[in-house]
Amino acid sequence: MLPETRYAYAVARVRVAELNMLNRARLERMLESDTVDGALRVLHEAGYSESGDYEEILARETAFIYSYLREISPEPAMFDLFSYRYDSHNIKVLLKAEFSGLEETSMLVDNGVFDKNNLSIMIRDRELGKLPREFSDAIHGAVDAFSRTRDPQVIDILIDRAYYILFSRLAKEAGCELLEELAAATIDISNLNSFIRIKGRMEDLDLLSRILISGGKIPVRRYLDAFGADIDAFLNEVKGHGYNTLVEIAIENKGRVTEFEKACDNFIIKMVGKFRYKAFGIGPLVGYMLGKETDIKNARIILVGKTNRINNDIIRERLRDSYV
Amino acid sequence: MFDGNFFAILGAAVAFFLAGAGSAKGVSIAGEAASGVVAEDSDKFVSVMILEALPSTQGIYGFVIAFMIMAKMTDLGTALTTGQGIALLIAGLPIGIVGLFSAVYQGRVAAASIGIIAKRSSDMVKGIILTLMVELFAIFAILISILMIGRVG
Repeated sequence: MLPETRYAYAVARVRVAELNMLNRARLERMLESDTVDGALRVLHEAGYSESGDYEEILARETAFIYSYLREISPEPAMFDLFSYRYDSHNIKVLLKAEFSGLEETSMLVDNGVFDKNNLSIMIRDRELGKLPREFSDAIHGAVDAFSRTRDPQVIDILIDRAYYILFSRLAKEAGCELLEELAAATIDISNLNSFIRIKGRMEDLDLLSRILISGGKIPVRRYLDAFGADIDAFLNEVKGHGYNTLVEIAIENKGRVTEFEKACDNFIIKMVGKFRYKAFGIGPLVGYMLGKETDIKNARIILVGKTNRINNDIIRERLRDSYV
Repeated sequence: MFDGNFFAILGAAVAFFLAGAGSAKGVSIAGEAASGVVAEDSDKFVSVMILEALPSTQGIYGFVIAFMIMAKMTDLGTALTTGQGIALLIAGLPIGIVGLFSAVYQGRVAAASIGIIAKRSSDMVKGIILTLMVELFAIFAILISILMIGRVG
């Protein structure tokens, strides 16, 4: 970890760049426009490129966030932590393609630490030496589990789990308190999600114990102990860890995953929002990155909605809180 | 060799190099932030430059005190007593030490205030006022140093 004042330059740049983010007013203007083109014009004013269809525009903007932050940051490697998420997506796509015998290269995404084509060859030949050990272990595990269960969901579970563990390990190695805090929150959210889903369907405790990830603020023991008890007992267990509102939303919206996902996204954005006004350190950069990803998510929700002529109120319900 | 002249010159050196080093550090922190803003929006150059320059005053104060100590030596004649020399060394310490710390911390506030300009150029004055709060202590330090030099006889 470099001294935080080394980030003065990068933080100042991000502070200016934040002016172009999609705040509530810009999102409203996108919603009010009658056509997709009208909404795209708002994006263009905010610095997004103009050529191509909206998926291309948004993909280009995502690539831009990563190249921009790596360029201005004194520690570009820190953003690998976030880039590995794209790799984990690609690994899932590649494994599923392999098992189903279909070519699904169009589902692969850029911005990973590993080039998608190289990754594809590495997975095909099972030459996993270059991958972080969490990923290579998870790939072997997923191949093994799939051959026994024939359930593609195990791939998602194992690879996602590997990503969270990797993130947590790298954050610890970097000695960055902020990233460790973020890692703990991500793990807690993932655990809460698994707990509520599995408990809702009354599946077995054994499955839960394999899915839960240690390293969050709520110890894994707590979930396992609360599994037999009712949900109120669990609520009491997690009180004081700061996730009360999330759990309540999850319980209120039984079975409605979208509401809970939205609440999780909002929770993370609110959390990094705390670091927004720091003058130094990696915090404002991480905030900007997650904030931009939220912007892109929101833009996609609106553009998909506009393309399918969905009512504005319904689109509005789906929108995440923006960072600025 | 450790006579009055030695201690007096040491005092002048301490006053300048501590305060000067502090200013260099303070201005560099603010300067990095300033260049970040200008890289995104070059119209803001003038306002961020003013803020960047604020932590440089400690170096100037250190320079003034070093100069005054040297002038005092001339006033007191060719050979200072050890007592006079040590008194002048001590007189150089307030601006040296306070200058060092206040310049670095002022640089941090200046960098943060440059963040205000990044958002709204019109709030430049507010940023300058916040940054000048730290200046107050450097001003006290130079006053104390001046008073101390005056008492050496």
